[in-house]
Amino acid sequence: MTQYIIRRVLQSIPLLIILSFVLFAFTNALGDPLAIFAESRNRPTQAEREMLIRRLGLDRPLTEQYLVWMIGNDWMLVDVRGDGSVMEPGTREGVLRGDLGLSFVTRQPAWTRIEERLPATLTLMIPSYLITLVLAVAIGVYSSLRPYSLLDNTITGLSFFFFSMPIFFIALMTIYLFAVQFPQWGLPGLPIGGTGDGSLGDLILHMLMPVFCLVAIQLAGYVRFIRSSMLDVLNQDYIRTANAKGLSGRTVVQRHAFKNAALPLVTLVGLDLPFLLAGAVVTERIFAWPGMGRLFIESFERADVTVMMAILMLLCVMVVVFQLLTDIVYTWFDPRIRY
Amino acid sequence: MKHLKKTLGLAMIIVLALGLALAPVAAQDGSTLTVGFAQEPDNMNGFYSSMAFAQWANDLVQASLYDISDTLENVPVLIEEIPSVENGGINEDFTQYTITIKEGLLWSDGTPLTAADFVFTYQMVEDPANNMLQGGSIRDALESVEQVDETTFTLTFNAPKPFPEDVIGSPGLSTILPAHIFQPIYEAEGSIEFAPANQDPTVFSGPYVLSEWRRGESMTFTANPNYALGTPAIGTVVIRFFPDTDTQYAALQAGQLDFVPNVSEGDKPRIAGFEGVSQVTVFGGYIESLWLNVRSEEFPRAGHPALQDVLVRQAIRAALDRQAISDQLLAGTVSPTDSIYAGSPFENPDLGVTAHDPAAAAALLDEAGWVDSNGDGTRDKDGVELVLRYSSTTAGWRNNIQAVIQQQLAAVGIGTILEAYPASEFFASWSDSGINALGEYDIAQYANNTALTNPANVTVIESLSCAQRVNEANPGGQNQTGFCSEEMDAAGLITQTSLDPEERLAAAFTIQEIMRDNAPLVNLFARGDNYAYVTARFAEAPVVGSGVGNQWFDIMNWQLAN
Repeated sequence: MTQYIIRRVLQSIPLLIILSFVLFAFTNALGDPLAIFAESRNRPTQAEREMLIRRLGLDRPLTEQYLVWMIGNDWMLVDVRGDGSVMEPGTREGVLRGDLGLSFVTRQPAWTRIEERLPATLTLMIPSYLITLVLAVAIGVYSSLRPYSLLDNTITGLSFFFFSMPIFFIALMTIYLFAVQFPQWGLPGLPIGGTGDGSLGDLILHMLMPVFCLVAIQLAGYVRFIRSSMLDVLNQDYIRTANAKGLSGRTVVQRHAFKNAALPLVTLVGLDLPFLLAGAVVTERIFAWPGMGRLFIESFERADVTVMMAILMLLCVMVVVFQLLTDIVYTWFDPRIRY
Repeated sequence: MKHLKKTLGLAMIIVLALGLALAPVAAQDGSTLTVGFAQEPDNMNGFYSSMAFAQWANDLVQASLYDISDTLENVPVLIEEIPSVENGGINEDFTQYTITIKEGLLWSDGTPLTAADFVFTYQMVEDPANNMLQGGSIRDALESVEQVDETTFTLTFNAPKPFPEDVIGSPGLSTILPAHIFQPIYEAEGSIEFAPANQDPTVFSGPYVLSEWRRGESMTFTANPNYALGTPAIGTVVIRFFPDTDTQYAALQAGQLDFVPNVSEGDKPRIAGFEGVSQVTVFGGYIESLWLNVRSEEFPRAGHPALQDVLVRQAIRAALDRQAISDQLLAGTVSPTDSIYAGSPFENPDLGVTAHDPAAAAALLDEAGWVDSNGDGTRDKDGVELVLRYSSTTAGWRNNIQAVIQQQLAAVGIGTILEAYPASEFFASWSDSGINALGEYDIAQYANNTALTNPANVTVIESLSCAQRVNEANPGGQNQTGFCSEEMDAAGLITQTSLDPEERLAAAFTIQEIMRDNAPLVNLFARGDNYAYVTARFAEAPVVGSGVGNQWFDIMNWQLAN
């Protein structure tokens, strides 16, 4: 197992390097970080903009910018003021030495920006994902045990109803109903936007609508997946054997059917977990949730390449890590698997 | 399964009960003003941001020597009297200002706010090591700054500076740096660019202090007892960030926000339908316009050949029913204009406005030789169809206007291909292959700045001057239309440098006439700065500053209703 882990980690290094270059090229092609000044009231002059471009190193070839991002620029002379008057060694250490660079927008380290937003994202995404999983397992297993019953059909219909609706529509309708219309009907309205005043009660209140929306759109996929997986397993010979042995229905479902049906679910969860860190771009934006998804969109809108790259690389690393963890978890679910 | 059902049912009941028991009816209390911002400030040092929302947040905590009111009047804050030639504060040739601040001023932490803080601020602006985004007009002009005594300092310029607001008023100097905070950092680091106080300031001069900044979520400001004009009646201002305008307006409609700045023109009709919500519009300093690509050189891309003919450009203007655009898309809140100074005190009242006249537009196009010779509904000349690439940003209200203008131009035989790009692509620089910078348009729709407190018009001086034309020698030039008028350049210089107000005004009028006659851009309407507020939350309608200066200039007089 140890050898397997070491091999996988080593394999991931060239993969991450290739990915980082591709992403760097894409993010740099997204636009100009100085474009925001175009309609600004106090826009810098052309000369000031050109100085800024030089100072940020945006005038350098893409490969050089990538190299600086990767290994830093403290080994080379850089145009500190952007006017050629002062050439000094740079101060960036590069991603390989843990320096993700400075945000073009706030001039803060990119990691600081991520640190500010990560807790809010996890606060939103983990409960919504757990609720989704718990509900999906309960509903999926129930539906598989009573396929094509009235309840199964109703649940399936409802799941697809939410699944087929775009998240922004569900989110805006939820806000309109629970926050705008409820008070007009004399009912207490839910608060819109943010995470509340810092108390747990207020946080839960602020989470109700976004969590509902996230669960609503995710649930259908998982329910169908579990239902289908369970139906496959329930038709296997070993389930018939277990029933014939006289085991209780609960024991058969829990210990024999679900454990085997859960293996593909583990793969799915393993793929999804890293993206919890990325947040929910649309949901966070609509509910003004101060998370990673919103940070990414804000960085995208202002072509803040440094922050975008930090987020994307964090995700890449997490995908690699969680895939490895998934492989390890397989051995628990299926003792036949050996590495 | 029974157990599962019970658990699920119980969970649902708990969630519902929590929701109903804890849900607030209203989010505000009597002494807190809740404001919605569409964007989060990127910096709390005004010298390091060009972002309007950052400026607005800064204006809550920063005092100026003097502000500009909603009617563009001067409002002294830290200064007793605004310097002028008459009172001896400015010398005869406008090269030296002597400024005396009020006595006994304090920073929010109780430290005296003296002339030394101003001297330090100007020195920081001057030093290129600080890499400031703002203050360019000061940096280019300032020769020296000297402290005379505790409350007096002098500024000496390398050329006449006839507009004090550009160098000492809030439009030019909206931030004063507390020397006791920044000086040690400057001495240690050689620059204040990365000073922690830029992101997390602790000392303030304005009506409020920033007491909490929850990143991505909100900023809380509490009244500054040391403010020069007293303590504001509203004890706390909370700014909440709503990146989605639909959500922001829902919060306003639900009474969870009191005040929302930066309402776009396209959203005004919607907000007008909200019960209990009022709107106020002040001079914004922007004019929404169609910029015509009149470049003939192939570098980087020539515009449609028809646009080099002034008759075609005038025909485009006459073909537009700008009043209909206002009435149908913008709730009739804006008026058509042909003035590049629209809405400012320097607008030529005798300029007139081109009427919507499709027949006149058709006649102009006929005269220019653009006729529909092949009967396909679009005019052509020498085998070239009169079909124009019409680009803008992805802002929804702009795209609606594009669609209407497409129909209006089609009515006179001008075809258009509509294009919309994200702002970061549309306004990107030459090196980043920006749509505008590369001339990848025939008509580009966006806003230009007009003149503000003085007739020096940045659009004329930078975006339409001959020297700024894009060409192989100057690929990063700011004049992307290719228009050039030496007469207008000369008039532009007069508006910047003349010491005679009458002469400056006459030059501004000349510029407006040249622009009207040559039509390198078609002005649509002057854009105000629009604000929405919950009527019942305010004791009186709030007076909001113009887009030129500080929107909170009158906040000392704002009062929430009991």
